[in-house]
Amino acid sequence: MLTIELAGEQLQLHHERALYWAAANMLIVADTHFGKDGIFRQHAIPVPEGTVAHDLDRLGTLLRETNAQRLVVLGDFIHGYLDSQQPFIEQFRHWRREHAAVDIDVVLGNHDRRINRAHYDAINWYEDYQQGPFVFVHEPCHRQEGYVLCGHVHPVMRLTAGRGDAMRLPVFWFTNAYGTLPSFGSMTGGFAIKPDKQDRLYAVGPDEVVALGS
Amino acid sequence: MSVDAQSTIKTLFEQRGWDIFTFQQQAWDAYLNGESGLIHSPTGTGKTLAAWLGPLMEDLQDGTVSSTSPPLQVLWITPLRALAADTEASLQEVVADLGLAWTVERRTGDTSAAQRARQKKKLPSALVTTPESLSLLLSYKDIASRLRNVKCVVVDEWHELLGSKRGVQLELCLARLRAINPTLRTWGLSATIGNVDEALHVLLGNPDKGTLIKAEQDKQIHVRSLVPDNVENFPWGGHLGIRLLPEVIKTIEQANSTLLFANTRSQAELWYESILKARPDWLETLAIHHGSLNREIRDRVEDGLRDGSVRCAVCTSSLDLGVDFSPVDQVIQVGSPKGVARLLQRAGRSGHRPGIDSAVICVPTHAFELVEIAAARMAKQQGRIEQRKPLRKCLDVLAQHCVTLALGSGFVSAELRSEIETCFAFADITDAEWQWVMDFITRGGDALQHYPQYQKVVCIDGVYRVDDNRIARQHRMSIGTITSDSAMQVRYMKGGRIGTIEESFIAKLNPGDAFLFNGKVLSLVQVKDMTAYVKQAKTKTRIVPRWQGGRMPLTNELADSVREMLDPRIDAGDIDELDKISELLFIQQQWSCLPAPDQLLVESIRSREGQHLFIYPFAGRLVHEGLAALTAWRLSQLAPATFTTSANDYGFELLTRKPFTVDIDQLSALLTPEHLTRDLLQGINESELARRQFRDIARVAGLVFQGYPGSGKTTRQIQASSGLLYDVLKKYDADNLLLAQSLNEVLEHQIEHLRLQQCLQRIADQEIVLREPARLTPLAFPLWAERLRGQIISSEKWQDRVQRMVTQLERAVDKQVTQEKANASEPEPLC
Repeated sequence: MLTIELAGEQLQLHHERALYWAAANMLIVADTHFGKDGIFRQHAIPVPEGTVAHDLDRLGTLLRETNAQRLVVLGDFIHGYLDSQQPFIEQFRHWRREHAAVDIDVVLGNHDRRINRAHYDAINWYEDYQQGPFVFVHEPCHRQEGYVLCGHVHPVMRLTAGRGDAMRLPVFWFTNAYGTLPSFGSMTGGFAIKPDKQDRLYAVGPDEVVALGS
Repeated sequence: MSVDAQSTIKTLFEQRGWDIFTFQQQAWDAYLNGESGLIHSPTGTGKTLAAWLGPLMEDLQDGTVSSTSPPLQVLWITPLRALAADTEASLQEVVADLGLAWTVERRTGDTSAAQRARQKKKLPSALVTTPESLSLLLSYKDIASRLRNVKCVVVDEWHELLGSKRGVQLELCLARLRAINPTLRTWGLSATIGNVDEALHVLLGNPDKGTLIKAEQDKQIHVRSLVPDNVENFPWGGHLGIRLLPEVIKTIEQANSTLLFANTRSQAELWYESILKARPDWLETLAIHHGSLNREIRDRVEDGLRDGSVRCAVCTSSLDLGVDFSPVDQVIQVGSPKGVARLLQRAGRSGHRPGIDSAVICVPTHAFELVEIAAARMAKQQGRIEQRKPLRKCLDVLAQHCVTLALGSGFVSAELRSEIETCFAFADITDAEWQWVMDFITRGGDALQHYPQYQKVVCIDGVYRVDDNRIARQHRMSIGTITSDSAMQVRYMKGGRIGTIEESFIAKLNPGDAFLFNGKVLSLVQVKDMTAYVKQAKTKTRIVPRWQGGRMPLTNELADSVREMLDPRIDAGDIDELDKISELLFIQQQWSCLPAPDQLLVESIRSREGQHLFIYPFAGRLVHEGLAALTAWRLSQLAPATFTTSANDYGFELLTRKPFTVDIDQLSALLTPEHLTRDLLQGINESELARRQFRDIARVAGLVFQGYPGSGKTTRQIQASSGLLYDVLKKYDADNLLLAQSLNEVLEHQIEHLRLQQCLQRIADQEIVLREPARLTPLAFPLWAERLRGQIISSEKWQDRVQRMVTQLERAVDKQVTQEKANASEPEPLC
């Protein structure tokens, strides 16, 4: 865990690709893409079950460890329209009951617009969401109301240590107008970003978050 | 009306002024006798007629020459859809000359919807098609009744398909055709390869049947090198031998028509650019031809070669094959041909007519390639030609085929199993493997695995079928085994397609960046909907795209010959190429060592980058890649470290930033054949080789859906990288046989486990010579440069850096050579 200052607030960056804002007791993640494996199977592409349970576990652990009151998902919470027989629907219901004390706010992402919301109880859906100095939205943008926290991009950086020695890691990417979180879902890919010199970057390793550059 | 078929054919040949070759007569007789077989020759001529006239003669003999076209009689399979049009035309010509009512058409990925619709009503008498389109044909419901009359399948350029998954796909299709018509005859046409008997066996699925016909040709093939006056002392990959440009231009001037073969598309682009810069007056007559260029551009070049308006075409393997291709006067090969068969095939592009000699002029791109050229000539003289090993048990291809058949009339498991067991690839499939494939297509994985809501193929009353139209459509889009990195269209802003470039290359460019393509410097304007829009660039600085799969490894046969060539007991004076690089070999000897056949040279060099270990088994790049993964893994077990590796055909390099020392004993432990498989598997896991190999398998088995053409975004929902899927399967369905296949493919084909084992056994008997040279030796330098190239994108910066390094090293050499020569008037013998 690494604590940074952003818009005058202390934020903790977690290697499970989540951000914890202690002052608001809020856990923030982006692009969970729940149900993605199920969508694949619906389309006759054989992907086994397992990633969902794993991701729900990770999220549950984060909520327990931080004791957060509120979970904000910065869009693409659900990957797409799921048949009601998909086991995820029941898994999620069960998981939601376990974490009934936590408020869940989802900022709508492009993927969330095609889903059946009736499947998912006790979720507050927003176009965007504002609290303190932050505006929560799905896609990166400039907003006068405050500093933008967003997802959508699935940012990764290719790091090199000398010739031929390279790694591709998810990153938290903060420009002066918005901060993009790495995607949370374990069945999501990444997009190699081209940051500017003044941007702040934090790479997510297997069990720690490391600041890149100065 | 009864006609004497033989005399009709004789008249046809006389009219055209041709002789009937013995092998053609043999092929016709065998065909009419109901036999199947394989016709092979080193370079092609007359093979098409040998296969085509059999069925036509049979029709003439039947005596009922009708005025209406007969139903589908002959399927003609071609490996490249680009060749289909030419093939169709040349088959058609013969039909017309004989006055037969046969119709000849083609059906490939390029065939228009209207044409397809016509063919749906009535198939032609002969259909020219590709393995993919044939497979697609088998997915239609009423196809069995329409293929019942097919008497003969001709597989053109069979050697191109053998040894690939496309070949396996075709094996499966042939088994289906034989099941529909048990009297079907199969004829293959092939260039000469080292295992023609096996090629015949795989084609027919039966080792006891078939006639092997050798197209005898007393054609001479001359191989010579364009040798520079001053061989640079430091060869490095990618130098392009541009210094030989004046000699190459002189050679082109001396002939009316030239094909200049480069090994990669990037090399072709660079050579085209360089020649044109030197001879701007050739703008109209110099052409470039490679697989990424748009079909119309390539057609123009091919037409130009035929009508003589193109003096020289700079090309890649895209012109290796071709029907009825007008012969050119000469063939120039830039860079080592990397294989004997390839060299022969390219040479055959000149003097593509019986009785005329073929010649190929090789242009070395670095000094050591002179050795490879001499070695290729030697291997050719000794008749050591590469084999194409057929693949076995490709469950991904089998799964795809089963779904294809389920789409058509459906299948019964036991029947299909005995059908596919007639294929060489699946002759020894086990019960468990077959059952797994059935499970995979019906429920996603074996019975213990969780794939809820998955349904592709359903089994009702013992018949496997696909009932869902969406799945059917999706599967038809995915038929085939060719994996390509998602390619982007390249178009001019003002309109006009130029070709395709890998998305990964375009992604690294910013608008305004310039790159070389189709011989022009283009500047990227914008990327929109999988299309890169470009305009002519004004700048001179540009990047050269590197396409995937460009580099070819040295074949086993050629690697062996190279090792023999370097044997100091061979008198270099006999071989012009070796004579030219004697100074280079001398430097290698002085600074380090020139290993004898019973020695293994290891060089340990410390630099600002860290500690380099260069090891030279001379076993070909694929084996060296495996060895690099293996030794890096073994070394990393001794102490935590990160290694970067590079490999070429002569050896491999391990680099670590932390200095370390090794002694001879440690080196022999590092290179021991003991626990090879265990360590190799570990090394492969660490190096992600299997994960990368899975890309192919995921695509063929239907795990990665590439989407409907032009639909762009609509399928994004179900897109995931094969690497991600590999990780998911490994974690949640570790027994998935596709994972095992991935590992097997790496072991058998990518790093050639067997060859690697033989190599380590040879090393175990060799004396290890450990040297610690003060700087990079002539052998080490190309390896060093190889790794550099992998890393840096901008060719300008890279070239600058390498150039600096070369200058630095050459200065050191000049000093040394002058000194040595002053010391001894006679240079010492090597080693």
